Amino acid sequence: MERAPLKNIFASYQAYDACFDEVFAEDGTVRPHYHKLYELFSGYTLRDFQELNERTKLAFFNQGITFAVYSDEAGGSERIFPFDLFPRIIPASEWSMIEKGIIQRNYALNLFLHDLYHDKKILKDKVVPADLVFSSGNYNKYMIGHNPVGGIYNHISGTDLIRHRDGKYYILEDNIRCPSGVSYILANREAMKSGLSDLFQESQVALVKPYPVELLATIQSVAPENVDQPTAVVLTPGIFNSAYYEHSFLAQRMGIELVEGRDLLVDNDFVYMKTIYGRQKVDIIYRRVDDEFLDPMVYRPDSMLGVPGLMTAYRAGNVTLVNAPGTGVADDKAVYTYVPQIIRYYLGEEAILHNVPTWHCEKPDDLKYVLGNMAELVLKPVDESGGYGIVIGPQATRAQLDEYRTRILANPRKYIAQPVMSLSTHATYIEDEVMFEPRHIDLRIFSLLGKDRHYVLKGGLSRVALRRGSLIVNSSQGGGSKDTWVLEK
Amino acid sequence: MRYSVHYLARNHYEHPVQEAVLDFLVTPTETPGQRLLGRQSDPRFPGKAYSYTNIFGFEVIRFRAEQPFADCEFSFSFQVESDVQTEALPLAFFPLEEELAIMDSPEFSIDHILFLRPTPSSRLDESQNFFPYQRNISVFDYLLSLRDHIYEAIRFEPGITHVHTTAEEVLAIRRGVCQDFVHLFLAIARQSGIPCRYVSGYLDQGMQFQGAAQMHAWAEAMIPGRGWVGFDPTNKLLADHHFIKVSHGCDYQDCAPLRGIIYMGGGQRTEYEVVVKPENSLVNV
Repeated sequence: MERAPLKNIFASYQAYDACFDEVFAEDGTVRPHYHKLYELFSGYTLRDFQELNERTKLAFFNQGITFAVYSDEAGGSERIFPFDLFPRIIPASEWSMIEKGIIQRNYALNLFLHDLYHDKKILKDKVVPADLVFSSGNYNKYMIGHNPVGGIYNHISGTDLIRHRDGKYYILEDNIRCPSGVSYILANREAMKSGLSDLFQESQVALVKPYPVELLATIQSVAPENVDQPTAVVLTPGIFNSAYYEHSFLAQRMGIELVEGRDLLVDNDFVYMKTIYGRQKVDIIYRRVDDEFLDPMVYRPDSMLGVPGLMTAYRAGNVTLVNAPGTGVADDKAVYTYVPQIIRYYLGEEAILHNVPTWHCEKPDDLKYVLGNMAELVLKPVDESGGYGIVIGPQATRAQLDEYRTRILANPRKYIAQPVMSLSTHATYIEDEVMFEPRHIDLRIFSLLGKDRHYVLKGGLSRVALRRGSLIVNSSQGGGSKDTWVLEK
Repeated sequence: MRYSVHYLARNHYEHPVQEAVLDFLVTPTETPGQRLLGRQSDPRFPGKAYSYTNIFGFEVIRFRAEQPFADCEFSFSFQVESDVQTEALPLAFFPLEEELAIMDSPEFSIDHILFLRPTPSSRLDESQNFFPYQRNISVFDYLLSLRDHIYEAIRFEPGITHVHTTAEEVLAIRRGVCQDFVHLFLAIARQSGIPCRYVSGYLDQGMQFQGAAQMHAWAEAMIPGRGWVGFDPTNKLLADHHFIKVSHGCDYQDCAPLRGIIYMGGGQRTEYEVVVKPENSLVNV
């Protein structure tokens, strides 16, 4: 058993039905872009592989990468992010399409945000329903009429994609408030390099290392006007935040200060950092504090995380906030279904990356389709969040569907329907089983938008649902992650 | 009509305050009918003042403490002239069909969206259905009768409600002060699709109006094709030259005269004083 080549463990690999497997094609052969890695792994003995796995995990411990779990029994304990040794590989041709699609999406959402806080043309032209935007609670009146430097709102985006059983990528969600997870991409790579350095040389894997440099250049590109040597800081809610490790990691890699609200003050509409040498003016704040905690003078008065007066300094143009407040109105679940229309409206282009297809019951043709196919669809109210009122057709009873039909007919505007999407699977080393098994994965991609510049990190966070059959990839619920290799050619 | 307006706030804290930021939204604004002729201020406070313009375009005076303090006093004086008239108003309105057509256009509701959405203070259960607009009379006439309805339904009584009391609660207890009358007015007008905003300001103290002893509140509604018109449900009046406007917003929270963040322990005591005197008092005798 111990000397058995790893290939035999792959031989028992059973891909899930009706899912796209990233490594193995339907006929059981290894997909071409995994050949090299497969050959390498096949040459290892199981002991070799276990040693490698242990060594890589140790590299993770040594980097000190942890995240806090709020609801843990221990209460706010820190954990190592479970990490998987078998990397996900994305071939160059697929990546170039993804990258173009992400850039297109970022520009369109940015124009959408500018429009929502100025003329609201897209609403008056009835391309996106006004009710949908204003009822979400994410429309931020403190942003009305404000012109952020360079016209940029969504400087940093974390876009979630999945690969459906048809082999195509679909956007699942846009995250343009304070997306987190990028530090794991960099850390995963460090750990992998310690384990598989030879293969990196041969495989022409794109580097993820430039991200902090690109991030700094992006936020510096939107410094307030007439500031020569802008001072940038990372604003964190503090050590109890689940992403504190990432905040300190990014600040350190960019070579800028990590501050909390109490380290800053606003005087005469300028922001200063309290240092042992006295005050130092701050020009750019990469804030990892949510909108409603930024400034107790305008948002929640009980917030101890923010800085009193920050929003007036921001509106006066004396400091840049990254991302801009109020971006939540554009990454809302209900707005998501309109992103293809948003791209068409502002850019005159078709969306390069697909949304999960959505039928809006307010449109007669869509309504007809939905009523005829309810048992195969996921049905949702447009304005509820947190999964309220969702019915999954294949799991619903006849009576539930009939009841839902009545609800839809009574108020078609309120409902949308989507197909049941499946997440692709990836061979994943399961320690307990001592073998590779398929596990569902998704992909979060990080991208940047600055004044006259954009950047997409060539890599991503492939989150893994570690429990067999599970679709839940969240780190707080037992998900792990894989290093994600984007091939240069 | 000329007025001299005096606003004073005096605070005492049990323990010295280490850090404080205080915003005063008390300066009479400039409108086509209202001019600010002069101003004086006399803060007794260990810190600098500067002003900024809030999101609705009104001047806010901000103080930031530079040393610990236990007592502070802010005194502001303004000289204002107003010639806002209401008599000519009803003549300028559009025919009903035109009014309704404007009101139903998406541009109208999108342009005024901030003043059409309920806020926490001006929220009212739709099932309340208290005096809704039936679209058979002009918007202006409807708002006059809404104003009168609220005036009749609610008794002016200080000390019952507070700054976070909602329109829903006011309708239940049927008592309150000017901001409660206004929140109720806003809630109902907005439910009927009429853009409506909260106005904060001063009231001529020579007229026996209700609510004149402190800063007052009334509502401004957008009459399609005509513009913003001020309604005072607390006094059953239209806002004219007896009303000195300071600011408007979605509800009281946008217009609070004093707002601040104070890091302190222990209790505090606050006193306010508002004096509004016509400069030529013979006019009102």
